[in-house]
Amino acid sequence: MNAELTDAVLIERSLVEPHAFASIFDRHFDAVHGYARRRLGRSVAEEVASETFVRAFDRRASFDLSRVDARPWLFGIAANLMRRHWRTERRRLRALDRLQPAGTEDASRAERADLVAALDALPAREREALLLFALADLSYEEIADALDVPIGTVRSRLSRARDRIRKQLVPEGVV
Amino acid sequence: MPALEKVRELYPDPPPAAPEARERARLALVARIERRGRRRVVMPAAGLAIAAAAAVVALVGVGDEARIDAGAAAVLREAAAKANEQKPLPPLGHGRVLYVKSVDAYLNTWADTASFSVLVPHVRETWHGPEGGLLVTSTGEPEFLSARDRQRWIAAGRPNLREGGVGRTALERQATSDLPTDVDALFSRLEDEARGHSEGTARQMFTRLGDHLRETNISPRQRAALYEVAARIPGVELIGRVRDPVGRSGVAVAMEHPSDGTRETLVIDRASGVLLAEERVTLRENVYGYPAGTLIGHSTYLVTRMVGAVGSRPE
Repeated sequence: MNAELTDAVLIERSLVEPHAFASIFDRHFDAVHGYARRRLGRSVAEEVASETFVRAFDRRASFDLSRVDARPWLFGIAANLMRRHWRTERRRLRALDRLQPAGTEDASRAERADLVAALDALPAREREALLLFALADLSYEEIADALDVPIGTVRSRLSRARDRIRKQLVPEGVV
Repeated sequence: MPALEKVRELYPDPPPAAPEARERARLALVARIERRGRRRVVMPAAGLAIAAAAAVVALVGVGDEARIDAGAAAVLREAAAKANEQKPLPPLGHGRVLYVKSVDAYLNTWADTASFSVLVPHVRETWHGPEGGLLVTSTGEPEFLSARDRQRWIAAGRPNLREGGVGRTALERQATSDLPTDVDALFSRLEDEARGHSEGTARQMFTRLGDHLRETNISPRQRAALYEVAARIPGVELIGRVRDPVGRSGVAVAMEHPSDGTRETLVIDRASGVLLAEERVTLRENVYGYPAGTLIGHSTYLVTRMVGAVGSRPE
């Protein structure tokens, strides 16, 4: 990768040389695919990751060129696509839970089930912020870019999400 | 354990993407780039005349404040009149598939190693049927725009420049164009779509207008309306009579893009109003660092015809 060419430069260039956008794919496909696969499993992740870059190409004129790194923008597009797959994600998490190796303590299984239930109970926008933070390692500012919301909103969503999960997982009176 | 750690534990680390999955996704993106990202313009042999013209034109501010070029407007209205005289193609249906063949090359910048740019010619054949279509592409001999580009390609280990543009891609069904044939309505629509673009409304209108002309199943009346709109766009200038890369006679109009220092040219068939070719050349001051008049992109539309089935070629 040529360190001289930022994502912003490549995206700007792709407005007149569309094939320059392929370099954005080369740089970030693995990260976007990894996030999608972690959440949705192989087949849906492929579909989501592929569609993310196609949509990103279509919308490249709207990319904020003052942002050097395209990753938050791409994760934002991916997040929008994944939102409609939450039921798939939930089923997958429950299936993974059932595949826990023999000997896994009942308490641990119960806690995982509670965690899935807690995630399920979160409003979609809180869940999205939480998963971008926990699984995609985006900063608050990057999540704000990804979801097109102010940083303060990201903070409050993450705070609320953590709080709800904590309450779900910790027995009453222990917090 | 903190809630975040528990969430991370819940989702197992994924294995890396399989190479074939990555390739499928890349092909899907390239297909979209080929279909919708086409902003290049074609530059012909006769384009030498255009390139020469570009070479002596300073990078002036042709913007929304620019005037209507009366010569360009007259030529475009003539093209509109010719387009209106044409019979529409029959609607897509069983046994009626739109076939378009074109040859193009446009600047492809490699940024993974030492950055270099190259023109890779592509032959594109598309079929659009009532239930979907097909895109078949093949590539020709890459052409470096400068010795420096070639040296950087060698230094990068001579990556294969031809493999990316070869393949067969299924195309989604192409929706029937909903462009209005009323010129005022079409002007307003294009203006609304272009408003706010960083390079200015007029230039973006011209670019969008080109998008509607190429490889689309628009009717002659819609094409005529597009030319009528072009006649009203400030900054569109007349280049004059030219020959396209395969020797067909046409008339050329152009728009300069100071944002990157290029001139975008459309070559139109005087007899039918059909778009024959496009090209993009550099102006004196350009972001690419090439001399004025350098051809950095071109397309030539060779055949547009109805065939019986996806995959069939005209005789």
